[in-house]
Amino acid sequence: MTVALADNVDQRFAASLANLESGEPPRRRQAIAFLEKLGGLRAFQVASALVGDSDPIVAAAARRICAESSKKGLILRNNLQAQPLAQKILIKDFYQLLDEVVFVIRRNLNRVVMDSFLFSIPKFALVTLIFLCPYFEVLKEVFAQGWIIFPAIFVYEAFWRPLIWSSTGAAVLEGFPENVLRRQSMKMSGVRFYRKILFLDLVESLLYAVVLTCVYAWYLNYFSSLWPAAIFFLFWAMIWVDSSCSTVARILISDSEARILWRSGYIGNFTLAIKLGMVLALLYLMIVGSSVSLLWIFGFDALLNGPILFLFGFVIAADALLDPFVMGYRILLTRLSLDPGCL
Amino acid sequence: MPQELVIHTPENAEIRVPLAGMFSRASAFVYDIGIQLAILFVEHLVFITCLSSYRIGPGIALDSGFVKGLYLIIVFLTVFGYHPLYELFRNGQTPGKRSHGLRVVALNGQKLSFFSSILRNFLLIADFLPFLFLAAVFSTLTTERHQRLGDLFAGTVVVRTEE
Repeated sequence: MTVALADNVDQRFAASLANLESGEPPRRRQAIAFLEKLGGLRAFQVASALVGDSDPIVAAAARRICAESSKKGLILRNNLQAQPLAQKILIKDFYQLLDEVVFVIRRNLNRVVMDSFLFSIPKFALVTLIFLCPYFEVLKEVFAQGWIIFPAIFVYEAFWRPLIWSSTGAAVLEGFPENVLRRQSMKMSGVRFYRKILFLDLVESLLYAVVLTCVYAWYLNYFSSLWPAAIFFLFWAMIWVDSSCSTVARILISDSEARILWRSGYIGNFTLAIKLGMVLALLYLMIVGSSVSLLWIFGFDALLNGPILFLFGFVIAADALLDPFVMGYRILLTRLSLDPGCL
Repeated sequence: MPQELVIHTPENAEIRVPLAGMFSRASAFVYDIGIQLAILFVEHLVFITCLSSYRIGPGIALDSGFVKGLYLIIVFLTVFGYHPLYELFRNGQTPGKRSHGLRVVALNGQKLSFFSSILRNFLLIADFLPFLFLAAVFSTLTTERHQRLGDLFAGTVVVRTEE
């Protein structure tokens, strides 16, 4: 099946080349539209010759193809001699490192946003249900039952998170300018990959689920304080800072036999972890504060006087929005620490 | 892997300058806020602590409307004049930006004009909305040259300097 599909694309590519040479505007426009949809190096090569085309529609589409390809790091060999190479910079401080995460995500922004939205639907559904609590007694009852919420947290963290890696994680990897990493992103799917991530991330996921459970148990008055949550959070953070990065490393390396050698001091760097924690706290505050402000501005301030459960709703929504950023940070940090020979 | 501002010169040469990301900019901004707070604190000390025991001139006491007005004007200039002052006379670099290797330039790579600088800094108020600069973050993430709202209106961009 795969071969037939590849043949078909090749044939259509050849046909579109013939159409472009035909001189008939409708055929040429159809052909360039196909190339735009196709993307990749072949489309880039053809489009680069058409940016100055006499037909404005063809020229505009060609420019779009070139811009999109350049964003993904593609450089034509004939342009390579005339233009400077993509600039490489030394990452001098932590904030520049975070900037690079944003740059990577921006290179494939549409897919990252789309995937993270799709795979955050359970979170957004949960947030909606939380905000509907004051209007439906049944929902209020459901959220007061620990035996429903606790297993749901465990199932989400243990079994849903690996799916997020194979979607949003792959989308973030596609934003890297290095071909070797982009190729690796194509392997991030299928049952084998899911099972691999499931087992690699299991300890971290379960600990995180325990932290969330402890917080919710405190809300339901099962615990009198947040100390159990704080202690488990500490354990989870230690695992997250150190060993979880090796999970990402196993995603990045194409050769399963390769040994992972940490090349730089990024991995397990305590100061970096503390700084990231502070930045994330600020970002959460920004999103939660903005949501509250918007509700207030648009006259929904009655909602702000709701139960403390609403605070969970805001934090979960912020969590869904920040997930791709944290994923990108982990991938970039691991990439910078890996021996290039492993890739 | 920086994203770049591409400037075409009249000689048809291409200059590529790496753009600054939002986290470096935010960090530089916090640095500048720290300096502004320190300046405001000193001003406050000067006006309240030192001058409280003096009469400034015949008929002008510290609690008079004139002195209070003067104090408010100085506070206003410190808050809103700090960034334009440095951007116009220190080559687009406030102390925070200099410490992070950043510079504000016009879209064509030239030095900022007075109007651009005033506009981009007054629009910080819009960038702050709805809370803690969410509008600025959203704008920086989605625009091609990582511009916040003030930059978009003033036609400016923040770039990374090489030194």
